[in-house]
Amino acid sequence: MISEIGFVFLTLTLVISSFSFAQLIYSHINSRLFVLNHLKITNLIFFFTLSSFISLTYSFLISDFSLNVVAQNSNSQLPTIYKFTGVWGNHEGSILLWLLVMTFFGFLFSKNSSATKEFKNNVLKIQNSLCFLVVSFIIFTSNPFEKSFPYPIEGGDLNPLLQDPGLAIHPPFLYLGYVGFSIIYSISVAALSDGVKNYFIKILKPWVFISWIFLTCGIGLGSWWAYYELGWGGFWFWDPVENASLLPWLTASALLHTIVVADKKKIFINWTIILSILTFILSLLGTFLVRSGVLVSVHAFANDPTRGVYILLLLASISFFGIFKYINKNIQLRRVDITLISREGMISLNNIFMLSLTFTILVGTIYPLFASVLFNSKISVGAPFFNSILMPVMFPFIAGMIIGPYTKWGKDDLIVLLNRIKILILCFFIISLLVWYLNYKTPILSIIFIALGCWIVFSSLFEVLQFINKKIRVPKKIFAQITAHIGIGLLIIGATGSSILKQEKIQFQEVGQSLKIKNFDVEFLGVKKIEGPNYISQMGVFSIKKQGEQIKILRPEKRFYNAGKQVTTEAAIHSSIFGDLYIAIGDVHEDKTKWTTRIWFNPFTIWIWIGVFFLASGGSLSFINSLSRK
Amino acid sequence: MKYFLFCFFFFCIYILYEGLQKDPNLVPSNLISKEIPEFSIESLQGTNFTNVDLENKGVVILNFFASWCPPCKIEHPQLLQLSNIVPIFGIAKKNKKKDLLPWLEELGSPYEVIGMDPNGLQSINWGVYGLPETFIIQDGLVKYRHVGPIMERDLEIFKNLTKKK
Repeated sequence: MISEIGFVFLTLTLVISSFSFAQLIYSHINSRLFVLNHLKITNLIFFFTLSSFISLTYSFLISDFSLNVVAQNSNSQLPTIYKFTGVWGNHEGSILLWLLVMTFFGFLFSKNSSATKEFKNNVLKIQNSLCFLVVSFIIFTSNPFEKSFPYPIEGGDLNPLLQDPGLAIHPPFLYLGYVGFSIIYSISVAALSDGVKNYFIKILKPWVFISWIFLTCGIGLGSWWAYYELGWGGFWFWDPVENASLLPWLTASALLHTIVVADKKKIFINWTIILSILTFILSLLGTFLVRSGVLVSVHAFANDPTRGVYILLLLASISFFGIFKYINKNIQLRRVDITLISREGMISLNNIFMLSLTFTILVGTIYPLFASVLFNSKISVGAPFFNSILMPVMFPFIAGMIIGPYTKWGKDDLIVLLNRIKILILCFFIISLLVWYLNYKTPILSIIFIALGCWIVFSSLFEVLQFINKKIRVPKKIFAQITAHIGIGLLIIGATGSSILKQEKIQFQEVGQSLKIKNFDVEFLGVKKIEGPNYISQMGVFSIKKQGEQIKILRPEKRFYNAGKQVTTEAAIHSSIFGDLYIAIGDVHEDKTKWTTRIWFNPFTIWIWIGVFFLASGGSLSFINSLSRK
Repeated sequence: MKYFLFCFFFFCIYILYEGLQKDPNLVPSNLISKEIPEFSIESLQGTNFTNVDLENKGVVILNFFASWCPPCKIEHPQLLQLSNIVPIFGIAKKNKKKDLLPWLEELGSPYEVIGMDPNGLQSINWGVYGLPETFIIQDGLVKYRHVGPIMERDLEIFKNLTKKK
């Protein structure tokens, strides 16, 4: 009963949002035919989608197996929390969540007071039309309220990999980011129809920050989950799905920097619009790549060619509309004279590098697809490609990041600039020597990158120091920038440590046998059988000793989930600021006394997560700042 | 410039659309439509197993597998089903007889003959890079290659390709 109501609400969303869509299409032919209040439509579709989502959630909670999605992705034994998160642990439900977030952003925007009523109406017309496209996608190709009769008595279980708190919150965050870009797109396209008045930058700004924060958290959470749940000992694998989320993040980061200049100097206005549209197109492209199964990926989503065609249609029409609107307005990119050694110059430099990075990663990600269509050849582009293109871009990028904040707006002089930061440069030498002294045995590349990471952190701290010296409170804006930059520095240190400096041991380990890795002694004490709520687990017990003293017992698991007959690895991790001791357990050897154990020492990995936290905090500060300055 | 941009845009969309029709998991073999490589190896029963055994028999299936490979166990029921309609030959990669025999006893054998490939040399000659892999051979020519376990959903393709004409 509840699920039928959910479907009715979904249909209502379709019907009502279609008014906005009809007017958007029709206004190109006849602009003053009928006037609609899109604000009301936005409120209505948000309310309907929310009700629909709640009824789906309810069906999951009461395990209503008459619904196909519930029967396939839930189970009566499932802990309640995973029944709840199971709502978006499948294709249909997650697209409904996508729609919910989209209407929610529209709803929030309608409550946003800074824009004029007319502009709001224009933005929401586009936003509602986007919702219309998504809701028709849901109803026609992936209806979560589809029923089967006779229905099963027991459900098929949620994919065990998804039965994890990290993954439970990762998709909503990612969606809040991805979908948040839809409102940025709507604002930019509406601004185009409006003749690109400068005031739209102020309206756009908080939405850029909030979406960027969510996407940052989403990517961070996903990579954290991959690290401790998959048991592969890494946090980033350059998988197409990961790249798909990184692409809009990079353009959004570029946008984040540009919009500051656009707001302050009223330049780069068109560029802001291009970046906004591009960011949302890349989000959609990511969705297409992920959901259609055109690329080989470790992320196995339920793929269906008809859905693929529909998402492609969605992608094509939305990007076409954006590009068409932009070109149709015939705005010439105004020539702006800026010098390289100035804040504007540095931010342009940032944009150039961000976009070249985006472009190369995009090419690397979809090249296999192009190659297979055009040349009928099978190739795969893997981590070595991405690592090697990333490295050369990093150097000027980091240099810009260090110098950038010290440059003045307008015009600055290199000599004066260097003079201003001479103490900092001295510090860099000392830091580099220190890093080199502590790590002289390790590969030169790791020393360079760790030193560079430290440089960024230090130069950011130095900024604070300068303010303290002058006895001025650090302005909120600058403080946000410093926090985010420290985050990047920590991220670089963490990523370098856990990739280049990683130590790995894979072996058959006998019970009682002790192995040495870094300065830990890892003794294998044996394997216990444990029964969980819906799984059986083989738990290895390892005693970790440092200089003969036991510091911790680690218990990695291999879980066998009853319903889906699936096996998952639960790595056990001992984290410290210097590195993670990471143990995963495999299968038993034929002679029953030895087990495959994989032991890693991943230096500085914890700094990756701390870095992401700093990034998100920096973004949040900017967000709060952009709200309060209205 | 405008038109160029739009052309490029539609070109990209077209490529993505074409890409949708392709299965990224499909790995073609260099051997397709070519004669099978020559080989002569010992079979599980101790007899000689050569490429001639695969030729002159119409359509046959050659399956690379091992008892130590869990996905091979997954595809086993499907192979048993297929063995009713088409002769299946196996090559056991880096497998000892003492491991292989109990495995076959437990699961049943779909194979007419099993060749032993103790050092993995035959797998290299055939371009096999992971187990299991399956080739459909017609009159001594390689017709189709399947990488990974044959699942329930793949059976249709196999049944169609091995249909006697």
